[in-house]
Amino acid sequence: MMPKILSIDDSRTIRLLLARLFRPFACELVEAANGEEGLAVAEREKPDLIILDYNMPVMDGITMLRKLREDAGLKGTPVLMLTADSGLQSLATVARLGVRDYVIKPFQEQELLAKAGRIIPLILRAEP
Amino acid sequence: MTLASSKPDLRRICENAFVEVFGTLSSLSATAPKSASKSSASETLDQITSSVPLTGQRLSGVVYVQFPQAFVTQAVRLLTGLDGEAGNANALQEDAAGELANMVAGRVAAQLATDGYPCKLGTPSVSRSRGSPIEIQPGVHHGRTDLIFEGHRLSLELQCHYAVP
Repeated sequence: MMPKILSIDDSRTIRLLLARLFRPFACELVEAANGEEGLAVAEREKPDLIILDYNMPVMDGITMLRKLREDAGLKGTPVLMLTADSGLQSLATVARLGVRDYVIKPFQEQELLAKAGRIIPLILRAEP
Repeated sequence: MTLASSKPDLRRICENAFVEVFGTLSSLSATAPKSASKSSASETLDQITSSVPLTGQRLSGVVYVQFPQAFVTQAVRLLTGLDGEAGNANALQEDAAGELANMVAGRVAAQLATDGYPCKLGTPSVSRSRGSPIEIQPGVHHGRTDLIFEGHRLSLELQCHYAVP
């Protein structure tokens, strides 16, 4: 079964970028535009990896992560955090909440793929 | 620019943030403009200005980033792979401009934190204009830098107030 990735970012540009990035791989990508929506999608889709933005309106990444960790069915879901703020304080907050890894925006595409590939298998789709 | 030596060098922070973000984002090379008065073809055209609020105990302010629309169109194509009408949609251009400014503001905030002025990023807002420069609010400390990417002049302005100790 293909791994399922949930991308949660208020920026449509970033969601489209992630869709483009993972398109060559045999995986399913589902999306949400904020933490609140992300929790609902995670509950329904049971993703194998969540790529979560730190700074979002409605519900930010940190609040969503705390709620995710309180949910018995979702607390083990690996999270790769995206953050624009590379300050040590922000990174320490992210680390405390037990994310699997983080990537500072803007990121090299290969860096994000490498980090995601350590969490879920990323296998190139067979040519049609 | 700083008014006291203990304050962060806002201009240097702007320069570093700009180069780090756009250097990572694309293979395009960033260069400082050869002359401050020299106009590029794109700068008289439509501009998109994104502003990101910064709030902290010792400092509050706004990061403004001004992009020519043509640059944003190019960035949308580069980032999303969308071309044609889909890539030219106003909403997507404004989203991309807001996200790019958010990345720049993130680097600014990280440097300010290193300098002893930690602050959090707010939600970006975006406006369009035709060649209007970023206004400097009265009484603010500010730093500014311009970079040229393949003929597009991008401007970054950091305006802030320091808390009274």
